[in-house]
Amino acid sequence: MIERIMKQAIMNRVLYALLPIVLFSIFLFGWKVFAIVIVSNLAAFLTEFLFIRKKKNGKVTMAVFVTGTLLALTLPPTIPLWIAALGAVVAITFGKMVFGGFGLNMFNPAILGRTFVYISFPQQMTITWLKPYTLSSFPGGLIRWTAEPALKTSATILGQLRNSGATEYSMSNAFWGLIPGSIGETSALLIILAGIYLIITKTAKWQPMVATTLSLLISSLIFYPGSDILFTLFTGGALFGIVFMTTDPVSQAKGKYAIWIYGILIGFLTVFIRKFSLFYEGMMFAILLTNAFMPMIEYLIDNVITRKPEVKKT
Amino acid sequence: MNLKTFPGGVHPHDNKHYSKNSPIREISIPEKVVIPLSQHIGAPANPIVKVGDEVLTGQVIAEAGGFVSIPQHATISGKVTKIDIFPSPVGTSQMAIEITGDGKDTWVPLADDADVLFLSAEEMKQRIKDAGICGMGGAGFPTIVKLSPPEDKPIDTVILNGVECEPYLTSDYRLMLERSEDIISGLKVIMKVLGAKNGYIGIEANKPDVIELMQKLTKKESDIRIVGLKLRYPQGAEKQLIYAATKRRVPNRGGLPMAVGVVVQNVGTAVAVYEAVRYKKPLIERVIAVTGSVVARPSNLKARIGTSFATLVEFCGGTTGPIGKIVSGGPMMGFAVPNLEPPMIKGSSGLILLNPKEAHILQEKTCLRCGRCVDVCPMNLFPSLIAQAVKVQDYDTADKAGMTDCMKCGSCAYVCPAHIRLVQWIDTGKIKLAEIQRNKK
Repeated sequence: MIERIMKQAIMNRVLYALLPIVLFSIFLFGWKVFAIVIVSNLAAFLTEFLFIRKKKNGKVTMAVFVTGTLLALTLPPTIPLWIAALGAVVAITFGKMVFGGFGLNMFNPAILGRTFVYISFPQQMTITWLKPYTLSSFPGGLIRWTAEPALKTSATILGQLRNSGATEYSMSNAFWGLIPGSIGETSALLIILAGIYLIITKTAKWQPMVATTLSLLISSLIFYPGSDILFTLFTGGALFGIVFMTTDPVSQAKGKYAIWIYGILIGFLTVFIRKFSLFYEGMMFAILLTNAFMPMIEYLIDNVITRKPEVKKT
Repeated sequence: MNLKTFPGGVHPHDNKHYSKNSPIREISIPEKVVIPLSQHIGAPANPIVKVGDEVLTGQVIAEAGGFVSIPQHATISGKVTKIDIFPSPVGTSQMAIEITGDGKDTWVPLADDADVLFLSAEEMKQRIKDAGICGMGGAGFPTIVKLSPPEDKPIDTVILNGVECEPYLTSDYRLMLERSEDIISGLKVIMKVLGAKNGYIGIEANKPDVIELMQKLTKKESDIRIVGLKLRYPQGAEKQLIYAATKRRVPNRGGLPMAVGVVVQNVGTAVAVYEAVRYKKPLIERVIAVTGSVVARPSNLKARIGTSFATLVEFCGGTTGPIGKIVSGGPMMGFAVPNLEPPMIKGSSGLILLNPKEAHILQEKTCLRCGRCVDVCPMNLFPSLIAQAVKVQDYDTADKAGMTDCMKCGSCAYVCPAHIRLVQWIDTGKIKLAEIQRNKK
């Protein structure tokens, strides 16, 4: 089966960028995190393999592992393994293969998988979270399967803010990653470093990252006047989404102007959803919605705004 | 220095070190030359000699086949031995005239008007026309056509293209160093013919010695400016050069530089123009860079048109190892040729021999839709979309997406992480579309 994997240098680099985040999460939440990543990847790989098995010269793309890992990292550390596997199957099947396989999907498969899990299993996805091990409790999760029940908590930062308007966690907690949250979203520092790595190696474009970040900050200023705007950025998976999801080469906007509109829309919708909807988190829906509308926006840009002047041939 | 550039583009390794420091050497007169009848854009020339005829160096052997065409001259003296189909350096075979030399290299009589600028514009044009000059940067558009703009399109600016943004090539670089005064005289001639007020010479920043030299030589000329350009491929493409130098935009969809009052000529063409006007010397020789990792002594050679590639390589000491690929022209836009048989033509700026490792062709993978080709396209196109449309034979969509504006610079294929051969697909589409349009008529 190994020879049926299509090598894609870009996807390899995304995986390298994700590695430190996974390792840090094992420290925070225990080895179960690692199991979730493996199970999600395996399920994703097998799903794609089933689809391309009979296709002549069909190959499983390296991207399937990016999807698998990204999906796993957006799940809470308490998620049952079978849900992670199911999420991966749905992500690959309905996020990618039904559109014709790699490169043809209009939605980000990992986000699509997470949305499916989020809506189907709200109990497992939103109720129980884990308080992370702190640096003083080293080696923390590195020697445990999962955190002790005593460390169970009911809400992430966004949940606490929504329920009581205050949170016990500080800005520096969020920056270093010592907060309850999904597996990969916790450490702002690691995610920023990964983002820098992706930009330097030209794996990801900088435009969507910058556009989304700016738009997110400005929108928070408008919708949450007086609050610390950086807090919006460091919580709720916003940064993770900016670095790894908005830069997905397949589903992102293509045009020179469209890519800025894409980022701005995601930033705005994230805050808008956090503020006005039932859900605490907005990034996921914002990306899906923007993916859905981008083709239309790009068509508009191409045909109405930047219509090329035509010269009659002489 | 204030460097100018254009939006888009890439930055390949320039690999000019192979032949950069080798002064132009004149190669001995070849025993045999093959002169293709179509070395230019437009109608092929019509042969006026027969097999067995004796010809002198510089004698017309084929007349221009129309307005957009040029005559061809014998490049050595000797006997016409064959008029047949020969392999061409641009990938196909075509009609050519073979001349076997007598070793004497007897020339037709030449003139010498040292004060070229005192000649009338009409006389200059006639001499340029008779000399059979076409663009020497590669595309080979007949120079006389560029110098005869319609009445309603006055030209106020002439730009000499000394950018040489293609990797490997050094022929223009050496020419600008060694024949700088002739280039400037050539520019003045072209400006006089067109009645243009402004002259520019565009040179890329990786040739600081040339920029300095040219600036020194043009210090007293108020109407000639040297434009330093950022290192960026395809800086030397006509429309990109015009934009960088004058900020004028040539319209898309078949717009020509004359639409914005500009004519662009290669520096090699300027030298040919100068020689044609001063000496009535036809274009029968040019400088070609024979370079690449496999060539024993990479050199810039001044050789007669029609000399076979094999002779050129032999003169450079042969090869040092197996050849992976032979490229006629630059590596980005040139043509791969199957062997060293084809002759060099008026547009041959380089001959590059790559080793098998460098010529390794990467496997085409699935498009990531990452949009990098869009970022680098200097013509603001969507290359992957066009290529995809061509793959499914939807030439209409490809055309609407601006396929015909593509100049095949290869920037998109250069950056594509999935190694998709975008230029080949787009070129296929162009050919198919032309076929369909022909059939409609």
